[in-house]
Amino acid sequence: MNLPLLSLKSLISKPLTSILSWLLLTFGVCIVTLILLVSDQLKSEINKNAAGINMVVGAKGSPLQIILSSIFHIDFPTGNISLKQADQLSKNRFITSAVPLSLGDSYRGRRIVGTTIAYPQLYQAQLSQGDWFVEDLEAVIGAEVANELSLKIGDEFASQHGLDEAGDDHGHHDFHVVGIMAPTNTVMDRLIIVSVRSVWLVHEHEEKQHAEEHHLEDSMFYLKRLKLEVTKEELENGAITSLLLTYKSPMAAVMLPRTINAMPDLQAASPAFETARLFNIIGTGVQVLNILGMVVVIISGISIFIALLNSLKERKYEIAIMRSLGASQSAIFIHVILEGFFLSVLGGITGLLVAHIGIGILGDTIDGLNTEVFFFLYEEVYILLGAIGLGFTASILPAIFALKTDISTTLSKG
Amino acid sequence: MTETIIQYQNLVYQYTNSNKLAFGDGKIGKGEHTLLLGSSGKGKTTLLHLLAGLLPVKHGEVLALGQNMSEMTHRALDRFRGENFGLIFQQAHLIKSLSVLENLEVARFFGNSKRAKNELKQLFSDLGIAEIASKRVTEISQGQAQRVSIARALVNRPKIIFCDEPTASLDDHSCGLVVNLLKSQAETYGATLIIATHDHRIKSEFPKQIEL
Repeated sequence: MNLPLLSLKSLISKPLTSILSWLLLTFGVCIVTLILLVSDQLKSEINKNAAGINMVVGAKGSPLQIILSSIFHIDFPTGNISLKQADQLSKNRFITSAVPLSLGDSYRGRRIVGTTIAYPQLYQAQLSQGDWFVEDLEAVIGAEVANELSLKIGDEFASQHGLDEAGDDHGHHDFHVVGIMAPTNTVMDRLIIVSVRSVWLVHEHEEKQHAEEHHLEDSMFYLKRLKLEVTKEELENGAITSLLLTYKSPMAAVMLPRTINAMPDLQAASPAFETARLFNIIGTGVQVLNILGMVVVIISGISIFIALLNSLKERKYEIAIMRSLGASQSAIFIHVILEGFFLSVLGGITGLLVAHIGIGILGDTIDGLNTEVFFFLYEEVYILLGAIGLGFTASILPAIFALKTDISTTLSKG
Repeated sequence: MTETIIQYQNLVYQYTNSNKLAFGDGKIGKGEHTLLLGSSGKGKTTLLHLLAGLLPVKHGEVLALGQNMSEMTHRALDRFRGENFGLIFQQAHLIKSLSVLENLEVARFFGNSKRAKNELKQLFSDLGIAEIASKRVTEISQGQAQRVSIARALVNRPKIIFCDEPTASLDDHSCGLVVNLLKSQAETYGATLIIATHDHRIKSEFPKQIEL
């Protein structure tokens, strides 16, 4: 027999109250941990995807929407900007690179992005199989797309208009897969990338406005910054969705937005600013949930406190007997403290485990979350220590009452 | 004259409400089983608790086994009590979360017992409670519980066994059994019994009596 065993037996002998305290603590720790894990993964996800992009230029509208649609590919684009304007802007002396994006089509829910090779290069994406797209209607797909839609090199698919699965087919213009990218853990994994002209081509044919021969006969222009080769006609009438800009100097952050926003059709959006704004919006909700989690944790502490205090009434005689058998006051103190300690360690650990299992399940259903169940953050150590500290604090007072038990008075009462 | 096992001098206990109990002097020899007698309120239990080290001695002196208990620290007194004294009360007060056997192991643990674990079996059969050793405390009868509490007092081979009204809640038959059991076990282990009681049924069993 020893003190820890004695405390454990005491907990087991009152299973209902012990389980209640344990469940409450598990629940509270689980909420706090889950929030920590989700917000951390969201943040790292956002930072990873926005890395290297200083500014996004799109059609007039909400800057947040531009960021969400052009960087994270989750919202709808604000509209189109003309290629001519984009080209002019790309020649600005504050810019080192400008990547054109043409959005709006999808295949079975995966977004098709008309762009140049510079786009995957922003994310250091490598090919795991095949080649980058060169010709019209050649497509390179992200690792996740390849996996989930079981697409292989040489497979053909028809794009759909719109960004959800309910869009109309674009008809017979079949894309074919020429390359598959290696996983990058960024938004790139979930995209299908094609050339800008491929997107135009699909739309032109649908609209059937132009004769087919035009771009064979026209002389070609090379737009240097955009790395696009277009016909004169395309330069005049073509449109893209947005431009991803990289600054040449910090001065650009001051000068460019003003210049761009002064143009009637363009809207500049800063990823850093907009994601900070996004965090602010989410932050309130996160805080409310966090407070809820803390409240549950504190309630579990109170429940440990009450359970111990209640049991002391019954165990007064047992404690007096232990003292008469030679137990010191400190032994009694430790005996009671250990009960709170065991409960809080158990609750803390199961809380963390449940949170990690929960994030594993969430990761499978929500795109873009790290699905690794056993990805631990150092903050979790603080949560565990906090839970244990709480159990300790909750049992201090009962333990003091226990050690102060007047053995003579208690035992002389019968 | 046999060797003195416990003695007290000038022993006074002052309750907070100015109620003062004076016990004077007393001496008990080794093997000299003693009854502490007196009507309610005379302080039988108080004297027993003072001698057993459950109450701090503030006025006067108690010498047990040649050591002055009045001068011991709390911790030393706890240890001294656990190692040398066995205590039996009117109620068994067994620890409910444990089995019968585990209750005895707790006594072994707190009393720094020299007795080996397998010796507990012998004790169980001596007291006729071998068959309930693994039972939960809530499953045994009151008579059995009292036997377990006697076993618990014997676990650490005490030099002195203090009993506070051990027979008060027992019928005549059980009362006789318990007295015989206490005597025989005290004999076996060479312990001295000190019993506080107002139970007339057992007066004739013990020649040495201290009347309060």
